[in-house]
Amino acid sequence: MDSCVPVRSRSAQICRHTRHAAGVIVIGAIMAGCAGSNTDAPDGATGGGSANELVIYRGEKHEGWHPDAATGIATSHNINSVMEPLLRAHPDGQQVEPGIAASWDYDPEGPSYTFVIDDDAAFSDGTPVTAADVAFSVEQWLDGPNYGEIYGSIANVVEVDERTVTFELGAPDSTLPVMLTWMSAAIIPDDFGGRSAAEFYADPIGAGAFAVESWTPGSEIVLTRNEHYYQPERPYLDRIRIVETDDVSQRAVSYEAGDADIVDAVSIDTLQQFPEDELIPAPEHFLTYAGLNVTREPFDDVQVRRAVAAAVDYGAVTELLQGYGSAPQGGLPENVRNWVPSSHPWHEHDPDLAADLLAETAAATDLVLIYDSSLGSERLVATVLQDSLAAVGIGAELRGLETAAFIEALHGLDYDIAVWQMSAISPDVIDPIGFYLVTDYLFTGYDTTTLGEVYQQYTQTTDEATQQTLIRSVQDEIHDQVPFLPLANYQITGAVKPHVDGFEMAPWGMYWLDELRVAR
Amino acid sequence: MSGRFLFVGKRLILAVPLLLGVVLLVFLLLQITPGDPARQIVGLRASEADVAQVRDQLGLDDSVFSQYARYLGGVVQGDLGFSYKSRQPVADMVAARLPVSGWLVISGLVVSLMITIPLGVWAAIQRDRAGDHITRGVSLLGIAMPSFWVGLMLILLVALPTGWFPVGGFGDTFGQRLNAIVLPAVTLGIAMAPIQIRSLRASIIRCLGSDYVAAGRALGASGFLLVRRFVLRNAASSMVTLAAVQTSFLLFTMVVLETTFGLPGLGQGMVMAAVQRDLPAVQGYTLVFALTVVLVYLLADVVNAVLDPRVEIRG
Repeated sequence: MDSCVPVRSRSAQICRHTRHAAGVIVIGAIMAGCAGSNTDAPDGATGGGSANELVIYRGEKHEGWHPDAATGIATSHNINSVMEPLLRAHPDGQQVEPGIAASWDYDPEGPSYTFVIDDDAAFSDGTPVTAADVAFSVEQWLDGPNYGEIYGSIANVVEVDERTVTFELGAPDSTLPVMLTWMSAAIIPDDFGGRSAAEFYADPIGAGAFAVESWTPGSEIVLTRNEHYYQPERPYLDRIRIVETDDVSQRAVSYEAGDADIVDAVSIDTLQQFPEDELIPAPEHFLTYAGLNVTREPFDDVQVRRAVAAAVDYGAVTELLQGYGSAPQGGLPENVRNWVPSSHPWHEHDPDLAADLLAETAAATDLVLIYDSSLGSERLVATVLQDSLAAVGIGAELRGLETAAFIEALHGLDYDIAVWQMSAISPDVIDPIGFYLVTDYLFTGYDTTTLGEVYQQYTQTTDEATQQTLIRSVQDEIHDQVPFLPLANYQITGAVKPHVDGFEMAPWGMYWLDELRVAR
Repeated sequence: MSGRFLFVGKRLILAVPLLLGVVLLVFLLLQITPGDPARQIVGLRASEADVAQVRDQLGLDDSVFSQYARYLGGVVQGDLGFSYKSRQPVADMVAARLPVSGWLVISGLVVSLMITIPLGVWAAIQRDRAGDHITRGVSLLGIAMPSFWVGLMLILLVALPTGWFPVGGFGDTFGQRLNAIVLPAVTLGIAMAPIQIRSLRASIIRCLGSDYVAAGRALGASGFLLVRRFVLRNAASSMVTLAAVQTSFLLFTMVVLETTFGLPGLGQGMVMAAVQRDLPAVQGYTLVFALTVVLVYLLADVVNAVLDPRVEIRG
């Protein structure tokens, strides 16, 4: 006979069931506790922030706290909020403002810069920011394989006194203050505050408006107010939670549900899911472009490149931007200091001209058109481009690549056409010029000798008219030689709840968290 | 350890080559995936010399065998390496996400049992009558509905109109977490319950035809009393086995739901690591998933042995 379950007393069974239920609850409670429970957190933090808390949703992931490793806008934004650089970029995209350095003075004859540190500047542990901290920070900037070169003009750092520091330059560099607004110019404590570099960047402190409470890579960053911040009364918020999620719909739904106070960099394909009057666009700036690999056929022939420039239906690309962008006026991102257009308007959509130009060249077929598949909008742009090329008889196969593979293809020039986007991150057009220089004109392999000379001349003068003449020459070269096709300028757009004040986004999408307020 | 449970030790020993094989497979797959991790680490502007230096530091130019052996050496010491993206220890990243996933899985299992047991029992008792057909029909519908769709519907039809639950995130406090886990747990429960209901129904029907149940009936037991006292324990044995078999499905659903509901658990971490081609993180998460499957199967065998003394499992 089969074994049978013994019949036990009812009280024993109830007791056993109660134990099981209690066990589940205890396990749940322990697990919830293990997940970094913060009992100090204000109630309702899961929703769109409590009294003085703000919740920001974004798609781009934080890459870590090492300033030299930052490549994305979001990471730069976060680092600036914690390890604020010496100077600040004004959201108008035109000016450099005092920051931790309350003032600075440029001596072109020296050449040198002298910075006076704000009397109230202090790290979030209360330690004052000193000249020694700045000198140590500069060493770290210069050591960076990614951004070190842009600070290459700094030959020596002199600690004049506790709060004054002089950068002696190897050559005149009028644009250094612009580069000092970058996250790569973060101010950190001397000798990492007695820790190793790895320990410090795992749990950094800085003199920015906020300190890092926690970071769960790929999910969430929680920042808390730096009580020792140098700007009076700022930051206005006690706590900021930055939620990172790839899902564009979830960002939109979270905003609708009130879980998010701000969604920054709203994806183009979800713009319609947000109330129009709560969308705040930055000035047009982001450049969507198509790089042409000039190191091999057919784009080693400038005639073909010009033909492609005439083949593109710029109107169709702009239409994708749903009113948040316009056709390009040149090959440099707009709305930053010293931007000027080229001497001639950018090539117009003229398929007949494209066909005529192509008739005089070798056939351009079986091209490979790559794009970063993690950016949904770029597939749309790539499709429009593919259609434009097909209309003039150029066949191109679309290949969406995961970001790492895409970047490897760019560096290896393993493509014919590459659709991507770029922007500056500081208020001067010299910023993108520098990027073009180190990437051989946006990874196209185009010769940068002339561009390098322009860069040098630009940094050695303080005369704006001269600088703008130099920029026009770059625009003209891009127009005439077409190493890449600027396809559209678009406005990065943030969705901001009406109870949030102080949200002012620079053209490249960054904003200062210390300026935000909430009035629920 | 009783002789009946000697299989536990043997299983654990056999799990080692299995885990090694899984890690090796993932390791090889990531080796042939395009994209240079060193370039990712060092940044867009860095020179080729800098990239080469990082490759050298990370040992990426070493043979695949050397890299694999080095990784395993670390794993043995509890070191899963450092994330290429966040530069944090992978073990710390896994530890931070593990409770969230555990919270989701346990609450999802509770919900699925809350659905399965009453419906499974009812369907068995109502065999071939309207209640049985309705339950089986609903189960079929449940199997047909993808979990991400159920999750989205719960967000759209429950979370948004009522505002009772967040549409994403995990919160800070115990109360917030309990609130945040309700909809994901219900979704997970709905995903797992249909097969469990059908399995429980079939087991109960089989047990109801047994001699010992006939004896129970002769003693005057009937209906739910009969099922509770004479049937459920034996029927539970197949449920435990099914739950183990469902582990892979559970982990897959967990990945989907953590993405749908923005829960910072292992599944979301795995997806992010794969997208970012963060090799050490992908390997770390995979190891945890593989270990989970092995341990759950083992646990299921132990529970079955406890439930049924006749069970003898050979390692």
